[in-house]
Amino acid sequence: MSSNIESETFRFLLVDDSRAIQSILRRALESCGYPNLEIRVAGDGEIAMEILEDFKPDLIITDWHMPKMSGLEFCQAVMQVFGKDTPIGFVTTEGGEEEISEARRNGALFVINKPFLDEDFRAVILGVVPKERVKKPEVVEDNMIVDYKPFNEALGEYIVDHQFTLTPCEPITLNDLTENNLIGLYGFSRKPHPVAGIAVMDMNTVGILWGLSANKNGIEIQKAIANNALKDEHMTAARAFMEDIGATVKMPAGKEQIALTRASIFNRTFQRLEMVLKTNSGRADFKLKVPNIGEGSIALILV
Amino acid sequence: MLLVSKNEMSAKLAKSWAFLSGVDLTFTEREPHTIHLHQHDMAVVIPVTLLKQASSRAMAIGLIIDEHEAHRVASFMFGISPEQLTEEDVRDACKESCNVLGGGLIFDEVNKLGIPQEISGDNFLSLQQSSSFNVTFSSNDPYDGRIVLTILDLNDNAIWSKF
Repeated sequence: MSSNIESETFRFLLVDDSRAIQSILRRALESCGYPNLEIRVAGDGEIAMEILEDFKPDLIITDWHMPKMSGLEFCQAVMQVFGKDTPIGFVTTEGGEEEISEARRNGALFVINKPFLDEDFRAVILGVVPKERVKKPEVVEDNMIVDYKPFNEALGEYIVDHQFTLTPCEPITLNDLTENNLIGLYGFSRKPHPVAGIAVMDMNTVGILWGLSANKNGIEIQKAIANNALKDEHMTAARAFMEDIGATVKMPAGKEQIALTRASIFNRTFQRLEMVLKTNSGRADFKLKVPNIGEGSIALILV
Repeated sequence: MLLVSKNEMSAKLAKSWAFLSGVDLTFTEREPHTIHLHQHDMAVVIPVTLLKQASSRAMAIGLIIDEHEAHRVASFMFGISPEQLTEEDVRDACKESCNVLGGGLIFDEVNKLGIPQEISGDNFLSLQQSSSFNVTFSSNDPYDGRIVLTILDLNDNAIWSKF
């Protein structure tokens, strides 16, 4: 990934019928440390749609409960009119699991609940709009074997009622992994040979996916990870996620889509793992962060 | 279950108030009949629709906040001194305070919040009188201001049409 940094302006659109909350969000954004910041505000979804005609923000932050048009309806309208890649997230008192899932299905990158801590807000926003913007993100995106958005959406199916950030990162190395890791093997037409792709997921990510799918709290999840208590029976969500992300891989022209054939736990000392991590015939590497719960690494590699 | 436990309510109110005002306060449950509206108090309510319940049944979240606290919270939220605030700023801050304070006390899976609205003291009392169940918490700050958050279980949803 290029480390060229542009000191250009970072643009945000805040959509909230409360000017008081607009002020709080403005201050929270200012505390993120962006070099240049342009923030526009709208009191409802209709005004926001008009602003978006000639203002292309790096991120739209919207409330849920608003007059005229709910935040969800606004989100749907944005996706329909301005495209499914328009970055949008919610800051709301709405905490219903079904509503959060609905928001993610409609393209929301995150849902932050009020009240929030400034540090949690910053972690989420900086994950979605990094301060150090790479010069040509579209080129980086082209080199990645998955698009960020469907990958993020697939993850949202498992982390339904928690804020999380998924950040593309440099290729993961052995140092980024945990003692044990879940390794998924992909093949064509579900045949195990030849191996067409490999997913590497550290045990922190496995624990997060297991715990949040099983309604465990942060302490239970952290304990299970720290005590190395995650066994094969705790891998269901992680395996299902690996299966889902196989379908998001952008295969080279003429090549069949890969599908997960098996996933097993391997120790970090497994020799072939280091070799696999150095492979780069096409890959996507991400850092996952769930505030108050943990952070983990995921890599998807074509071989 | 429609509401979080009373033990949780106190902690959630304190956390929400710290977010809104930057001030740490504790909240304690009160007997509803000990709460009276004063001349300069502001009253805000949010209608709450109960999902999977008879449509005639409804709840409301009410906030009574005195002038001093209203200006204090508005000043913090807008990031300006109390002297610079307009009446509209204070109203806006109080409505959002009701939303954030009350929103944390209900279960979103079975309740849907409406839009906060300011109402007169008389109408607030009418709502209170027409409710069969009433949970009330107020701030423990005897020397400064007063913040009262109340959740009303309304017997008749039609009461909203009177306002």
